[in-house]
Amino acid sequence: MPASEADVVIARACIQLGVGCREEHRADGRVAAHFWATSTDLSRVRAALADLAANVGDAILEEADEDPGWVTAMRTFHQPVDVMGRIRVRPPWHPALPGMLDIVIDPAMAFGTGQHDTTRGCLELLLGCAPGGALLDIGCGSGVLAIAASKLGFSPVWACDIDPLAIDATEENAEINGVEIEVTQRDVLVTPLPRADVILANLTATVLTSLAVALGESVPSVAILSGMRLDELRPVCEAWAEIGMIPADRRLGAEWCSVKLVRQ
Amino acid sequence: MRAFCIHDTYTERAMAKKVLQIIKLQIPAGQASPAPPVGPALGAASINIMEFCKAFNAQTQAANGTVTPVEISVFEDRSFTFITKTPPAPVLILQALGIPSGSAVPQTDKVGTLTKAQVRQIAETKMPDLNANSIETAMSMIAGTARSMGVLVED
Repeated sequence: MPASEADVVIARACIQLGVGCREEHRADGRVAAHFWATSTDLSRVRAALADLAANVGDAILEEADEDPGWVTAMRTFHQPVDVMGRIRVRPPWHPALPGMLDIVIDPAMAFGTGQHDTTRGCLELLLGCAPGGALLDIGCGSGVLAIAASKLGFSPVWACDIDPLAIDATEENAEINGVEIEVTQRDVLVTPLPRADVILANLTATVLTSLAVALGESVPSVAILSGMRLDELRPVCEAWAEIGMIPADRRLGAEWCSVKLVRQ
Repeated sequence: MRAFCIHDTYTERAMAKKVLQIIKLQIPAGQASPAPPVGPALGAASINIMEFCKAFNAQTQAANGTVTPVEISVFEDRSFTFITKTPPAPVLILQALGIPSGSAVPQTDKVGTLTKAQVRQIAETKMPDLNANSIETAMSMIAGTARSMGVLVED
């Protein structure tokens, strides 16, 4: 489409479809917007884009099969991660290390390969908790934290995420690792949560703050929170202090931090 | 005559690295994940997808869900920086009015009316990207865009 119209057309398409896109600014001054659709919503996306394209002066709509090369490219990033000499998170194509708790994660399209500072921080803090009791992983992504918890001895382990891709990834990874995890898709700020002894939540500061309120009667004994930038640690801890949870341990990285809270 | 240059070391450091590629995406604020379009776009450029998603979500968490344009500069060492922009003004105006499109004949056919409070709210959202010194200037820019779409503005 012409560059003059691109900004508005693309933004409207994203809002209407509820998905993101990649913009490509071509040498001839025209702009291409790339959208991805899954097989379940292909016809809806196709119809909506055709409708939008018809309303732009000079737009061309093309359809192609996805180039799967990016998944392969992404996999090259996924290297084994060893946490405190006790846990190894590895992709299926790397070997296990004897004597270490082995967690196999195929990264696919969900969060959590163990490499991010926040995932590592959560795993380190989890290793410092006495295993046993019910554990809830909020925003489970690939399921890496829930799987680690299950292997450490927590039971039952519940996991939830707002993203359907994360639900699929957690279920698949739980099966690969031979652990039982009850996975549900839910918006934790809307649906009430089960009462767990330990809560794991690697999210953003805004969601973590709202979560303290959303817990209602389901305040856990221990909460491991991550996904905050360093300057966000204090406001998050203040919100959780309101429900009687105080910091007991923390991991500070260069940009990110993780904190373990216990009920007073 | 003397020339003066104001700079800071951070910019200088960033400038010293060669930009290999600029990737433009539009993604819902606070909700970036390795799924498309982030995965394909960033995976192809060999940059750390998780780090980008976490940083983007942290930076845009206040505008949760609003589709946000982001420009990612990929450097030759595969490090990256990114800047987020506000959604285009016409889109914010249509959203505020809850209508799908502007007027085909804006001079004569009016499609809706924005209250002054709505204009102020849009101006506040757009402020970082507008060349405006005050909220009043930003509001008159938004009102101008609205009129060009056949949208009336309350006095």
